[in-house]
Amino acid sequence: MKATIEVPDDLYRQVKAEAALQGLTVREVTTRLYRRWLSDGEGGEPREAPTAWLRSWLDAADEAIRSAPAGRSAREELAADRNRLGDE
Amino acid sequence: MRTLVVDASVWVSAADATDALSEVSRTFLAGVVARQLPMALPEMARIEIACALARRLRDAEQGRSLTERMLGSPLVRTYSLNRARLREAIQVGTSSLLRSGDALYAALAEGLEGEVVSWDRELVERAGALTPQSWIDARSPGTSPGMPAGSP
Repeated sequence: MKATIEVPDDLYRQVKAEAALQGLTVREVTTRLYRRWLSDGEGGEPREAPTAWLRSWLDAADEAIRSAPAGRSAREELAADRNRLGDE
Repeated sequence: MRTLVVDASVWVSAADATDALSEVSRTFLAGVVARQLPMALPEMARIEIACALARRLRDAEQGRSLTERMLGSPLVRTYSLNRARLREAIQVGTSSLLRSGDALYAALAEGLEGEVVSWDRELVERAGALTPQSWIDARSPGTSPGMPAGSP
């Protein structure tokens, strides 16, 4: 059946762009989301609130770093990884 | 509400309190969370983050665990590399003379009509990425302009 719904312009543009990137139509994306929502009941497991997530993630990172050996920071490790060929 | 494609360099900098740019990275993430802005990253970034953290911590399990916890945010979404996105990355990467990994970030941002935020100098200079500092400064009128990118 056909249904007409109102969607915020910005949200629709993002969905349309992402659907195009994945080679899908907006109709296909919409149908998938409807099916997933129905199978998940209230939309799946509730995820942690953003502020609580950030705090707990940083706390866990701080705890891990406290027992880490001295050396290059994680960002420096990443930069070295990305530039490895350039060092040879 | 523009999606922010947050580079691995920002995530690992925030996670590592010993990093010189960690405080700025954390302030940036706090600002994004306060505004409830969506953050995106290519699937490949999971590998970059997990490996960089594992190397830093000398602990594989902690590297993986911290990466998974990071992805548990309701604001964070990862994007797999399908054919359409691969084509887009080749197009963007070759046009801007980017490294392959950087092209994935730039293409994702273009596809989502978002912005890349990174400490990587090449992403800033060649792909127009913002640094976390410049993102913060742009939202704090009257403060000094952003510091240069912190990684080569």
